[in-house]
Amino acid sequence: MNEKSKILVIEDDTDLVAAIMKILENKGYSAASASDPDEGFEKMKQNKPDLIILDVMFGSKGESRGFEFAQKMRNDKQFADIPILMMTAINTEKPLFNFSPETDGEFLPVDAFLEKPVKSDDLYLKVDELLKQKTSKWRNWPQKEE
Amino acid sequence: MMNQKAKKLVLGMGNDILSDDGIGLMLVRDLANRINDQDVKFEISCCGGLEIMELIKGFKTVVFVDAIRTRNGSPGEVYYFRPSDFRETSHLSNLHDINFLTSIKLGTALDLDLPDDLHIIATEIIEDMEFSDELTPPLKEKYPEILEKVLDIVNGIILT
Repeated sequence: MNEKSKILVIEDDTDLVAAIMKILENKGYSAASASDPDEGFEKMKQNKPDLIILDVMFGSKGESRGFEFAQKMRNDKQFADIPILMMTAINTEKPLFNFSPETDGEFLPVDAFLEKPVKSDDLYLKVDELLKQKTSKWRNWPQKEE
Repeated sequence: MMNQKAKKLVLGMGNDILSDDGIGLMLVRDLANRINDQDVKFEISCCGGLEIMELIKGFKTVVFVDAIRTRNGSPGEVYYFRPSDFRETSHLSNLHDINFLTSIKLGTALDLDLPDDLHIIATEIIEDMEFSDELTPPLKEKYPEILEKVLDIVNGIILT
């Protein structure tokens, strides 16, 4: 595996972003961040990442823009092949967010889920797996090939 | 906790969700409750590099309170140093940005109003690569002792 794989973290929680980037950089990855999907897209255009770590909810109103971002990426030939690791908070504290990766995951063009609160071992494992995978299984979405 | 007219800044650096990495933040929150001086402002930040300049400009004296990992250090040990004998602490070095000394040199070259009196207090930590909102048990146990040492050093700086 390329030690300097590029990872873009799209998340609006600055503490979480700082923590993830510190851990990724310590593991030898090159990490960049964006605080929302729009900024994420701009950064992708400047420097195409090998992996995207993406939050679901953005802003104080808890808009689920992560879903739209994933779909937009898969419809863009330039970025459709990049694996996405989606961070989710599967809990009952956010009534607006009833999504369950176990039941709905197959309908979302992301490659894996990282449960919040994030655990370092899960982060290492999933980042490593997806970088080895290299290409998203949803690269031809919405025409599913698998 | 905030005082816009303060001339001195005590700046805690770290990340609350990376275990011992958050000790600088904890210490500064506790120092803010122990030190009652209108000339002193207490702030916390998770960021290093260039963002530091924005936080420290306009102050005369700045005391950084950070975590550090040295090769042979004993967990809980408290170090004090000045920029002239600078050792990179957890957040005054910054892998994806530029480090502390470079920030200061750049800020000075840009004629920013940066402090000329800088102090660094760093606590030797064990773990800063695991997600946890608690200190590791050895640091948790030593925390009251660490706080008193840091309080003594900070008082020594701000009272001069």
